[in-house]
Amino acid sequence: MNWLIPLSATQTVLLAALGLKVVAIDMRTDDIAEAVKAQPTQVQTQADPAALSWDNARSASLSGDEMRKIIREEVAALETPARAASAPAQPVKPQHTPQQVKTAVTAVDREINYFRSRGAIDEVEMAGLQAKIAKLPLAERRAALTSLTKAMSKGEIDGWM
Amino acid sequence: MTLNRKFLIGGIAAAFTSTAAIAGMVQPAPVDVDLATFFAGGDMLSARYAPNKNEFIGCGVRKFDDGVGGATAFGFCQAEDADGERAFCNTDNEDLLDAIEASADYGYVTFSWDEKTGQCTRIGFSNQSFYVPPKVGSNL
Repeated sequence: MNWLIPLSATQTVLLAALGLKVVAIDMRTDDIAEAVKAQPTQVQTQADPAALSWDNARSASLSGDEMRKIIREEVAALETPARAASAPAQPVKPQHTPQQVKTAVTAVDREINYFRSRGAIDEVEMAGLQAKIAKLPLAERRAALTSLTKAMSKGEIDGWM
Repeated sequence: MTLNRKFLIGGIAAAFTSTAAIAGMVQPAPVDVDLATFFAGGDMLSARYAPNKNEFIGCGVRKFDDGVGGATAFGFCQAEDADGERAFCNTDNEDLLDAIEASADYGYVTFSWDEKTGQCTRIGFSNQSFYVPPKVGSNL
């Protein structure tokens, strides 16, 4: 009968260990239950794209694509002002007033008439006249070239273009 | 020198003579300016070596910096024939300017113009072997 005492003690110890194990499993179950309750809130947050930002983002709740999207948006926002500031200014063709155009046309006409009265134009004079004609607006330029070529075709101005 | 050798040397000389005389087809086109039909044409070589002081023909392009990264361009063609009839035309048509810039030495040039505006209405170039001068290099 002497072996009954150690057996009883062993059973008591085992029962106590079993009880502790049950309590530990119970606590872990509660933790998991709480985590499951919290999960729908996070999913709802992720479903709203507007809510994606550095302020509410948690690495555990964002996919790789979402993080890349946020990084792209942030980088684009940083680059936009810099790009606008660094873009070279496009040269703007000066707009001449009608009076300026009229003055230039008159000067070219006067020069053509001068060469017509003289009856000849040399190469240097032709180059200078062409440069002045080239500065005229298209319609006036065509008119001046018409006047010049007609005068040359008629023999009123002897020379070459 | 034997008779046979004389014939041989003479034959060789005759062969070279005939090679020099045959130099391919030539087609000189003296400059012609027709003020009734507004046509001018002729090849540059014939004009350059014409037996008179009048003939010339050609086209050119003038480009001027417009100050804003581009250029203002216009082209022209001009010709005078042996009779002293002259023709000039000008253009800012980009395709015609391209045609002028694609011209080559010794070619045949032809152009037409609008009587009222003086604008070129047609510009043509033809680069042919029969316009090339006989003394510019040789493949023979």
